Amino acid sequence: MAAREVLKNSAFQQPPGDALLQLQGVHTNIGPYRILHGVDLAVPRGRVTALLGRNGAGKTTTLRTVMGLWRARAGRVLFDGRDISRAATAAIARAGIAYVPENMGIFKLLTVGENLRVAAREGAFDPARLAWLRELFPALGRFWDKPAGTLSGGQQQMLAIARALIEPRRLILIDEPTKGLAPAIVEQVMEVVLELRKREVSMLLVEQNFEFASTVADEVAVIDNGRIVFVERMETLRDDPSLQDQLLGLGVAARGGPEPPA
Amino acid sequence: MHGVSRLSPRAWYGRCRQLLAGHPHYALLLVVTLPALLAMPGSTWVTLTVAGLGMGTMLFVMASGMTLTFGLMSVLNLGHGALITVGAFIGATLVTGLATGHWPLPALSSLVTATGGPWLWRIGALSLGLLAAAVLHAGVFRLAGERAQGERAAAAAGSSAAGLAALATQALVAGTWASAGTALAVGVAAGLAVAAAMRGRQAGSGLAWPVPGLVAPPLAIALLAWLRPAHAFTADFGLMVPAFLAAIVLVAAVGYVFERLIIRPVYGNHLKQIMVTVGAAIIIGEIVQAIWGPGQVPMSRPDTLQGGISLGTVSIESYRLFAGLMGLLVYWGLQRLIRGTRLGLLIRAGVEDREMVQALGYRIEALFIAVFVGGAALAGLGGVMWGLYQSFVTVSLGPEMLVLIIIVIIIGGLGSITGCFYAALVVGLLNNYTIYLFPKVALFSSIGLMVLVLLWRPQGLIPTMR
Repeated sequence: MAAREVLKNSAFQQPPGDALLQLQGVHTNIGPYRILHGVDLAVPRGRVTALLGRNGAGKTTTLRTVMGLWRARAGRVLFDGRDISRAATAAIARAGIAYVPENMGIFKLLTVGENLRVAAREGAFDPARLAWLRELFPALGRFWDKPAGTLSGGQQQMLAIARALIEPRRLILIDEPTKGLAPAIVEQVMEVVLELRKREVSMLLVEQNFEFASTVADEVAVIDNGRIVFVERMETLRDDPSLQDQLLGLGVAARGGPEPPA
Repeated sequence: MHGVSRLSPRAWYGRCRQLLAGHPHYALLLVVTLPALLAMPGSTWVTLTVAGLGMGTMLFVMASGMTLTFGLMSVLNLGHGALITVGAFIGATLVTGLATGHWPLPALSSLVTATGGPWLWRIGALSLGLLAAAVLHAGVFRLAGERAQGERAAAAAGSSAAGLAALATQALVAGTWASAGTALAVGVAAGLAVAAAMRGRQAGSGLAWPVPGLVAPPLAIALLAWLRPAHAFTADFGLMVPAFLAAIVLVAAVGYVFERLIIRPVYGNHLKQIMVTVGAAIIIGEIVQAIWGPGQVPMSRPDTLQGGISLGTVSIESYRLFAGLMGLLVYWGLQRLIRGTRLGLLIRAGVEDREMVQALGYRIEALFIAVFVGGAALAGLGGVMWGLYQSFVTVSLGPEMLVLIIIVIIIGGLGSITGCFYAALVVGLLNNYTIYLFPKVALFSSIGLMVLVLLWRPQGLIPTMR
């Protein structure tokens, strides 16, 4: 496989800077299926890392394993040097990792304000932070007392991201924030992520949309068949279309077009 | 849409449809009550409606715990009926025992005088109560991963526990269980009233929370002194309060053990939950029989709640009225908890998506235990209420009620307190109407109603799941 050859050349190069999150030989099964076969990944501090790969490669499983929602069968997950692979999900979250799942995990019957209030574990909002988020996502203020289920998909995604940011977090995991969104909305999400990047928020971003990922991410890792096959600075991959084809499969899919048949 | 203001029949129809679609629980209530009004004399209708509402609110008290348990953790607890039975028997023992003998009281009174006198006990009880308040306050929220410094409702409830402890001692020293019971009831009311008055002053620091507990006892003592002329009433009515409290506390404790021992090992597996909880229900039933015997245990209502009130041709059974008011109080309290507190916010979030609640840093199991124990306490309370209504209790009380409870929580929408309340009212009303109108189909009416509601709204009146 093409990806295997790339692996020989560039795999496991640690990105610059020290790692905030480190996965070492993580194996995860879902029921009888082995999804991750020894994932090694380092997420550097203060940078945006994109985790790319085709459907079923193990991107979501990687995030869920970090959150403790699925258990690693083997290997270690180090967050700031501490092994969290056996910790409860709540403890992992309290250690400072925010998670925006693929389905956004919005509480649809709760109002927008209540969704944020659940996430603010201190009970009260930090006014400066809230003001910043309201500026970042103007729709939040407008729909504050509306059930979150009545928001559009894009607004729900904004709410999901805002909910991850309402408390200071040390790392944000986002699973496919652009999935199913109209191009104009993708643009807005992109602005938000770029704003976060400017503020040096550490982020691990799972994406299918290469256009989006290559714009917002500093670092890139590619996962295939449950293993990391490529780790580089994003520029390297962005400037090399043939490498993109090789790693991400068929050009069209990699650039955010329709997905190829399985 | 101009037709709406002209109120043409079409517009009326549209308006009604819109209203009913938005509020299916009101719609169902109307659909059940209005045709009944046409089918019987007005006074009969009023009598049956009050009776039905009384039955409905009792059903609600029993069912509310089960619907939340299912909503939050998707746990099917068919042992819920057994918890109701246990509550009913505890209540029956106390009501009968206290009415006939005041049994442990003289012994306790002499214990108090022998060990340092009433004031030492009062002070001791007050500090114990305050400690309990602090533990409740810190415990519930810390367990759930909550670092917030003040939850007014829990604090108020906890600190009125302080007042209650002192009051109970006061009553113990003073003499009778009846006055103890009334003192407790008044203490709770006073604590809650002060807490409610303080709600507006959230800005106050964490130091404010013991205030209700400190204010409540003197207030309650003053009220008691004022109530003294009505002593016959308090002596009689107050008997129920220890029975209610004992059932609530003891069944909550049983619920805690039940959750740890029986529910915990079968999380996430409905089939196992059904088998294990049915098994546990059978065992609990046998234990109850071993303690109380296989027959009926009488449980007579206090004289105050015997008989009825007649207003012209309408006669209303006074116990049903009382049960209705109690049920309304429970509903109001639960709504306050669910809609107005942080614990309630977490419960609502957990009912929708428990994984996300965990991913936001809350230990959902702690939340679930709290809900389960609370639900068990309500099951116990409901058992006492139903036992008083029947005037006797048997081992089959819980299992029999369980059928109706399951119907109620399915009609209401699993996990919804509002849905559960209205479904319970409708089931209670329909039951009373059909017993009068068509006695032969009365048993079938609830199941028939469930079938119809599910055809109309497959997820129940108020769906909570996605």
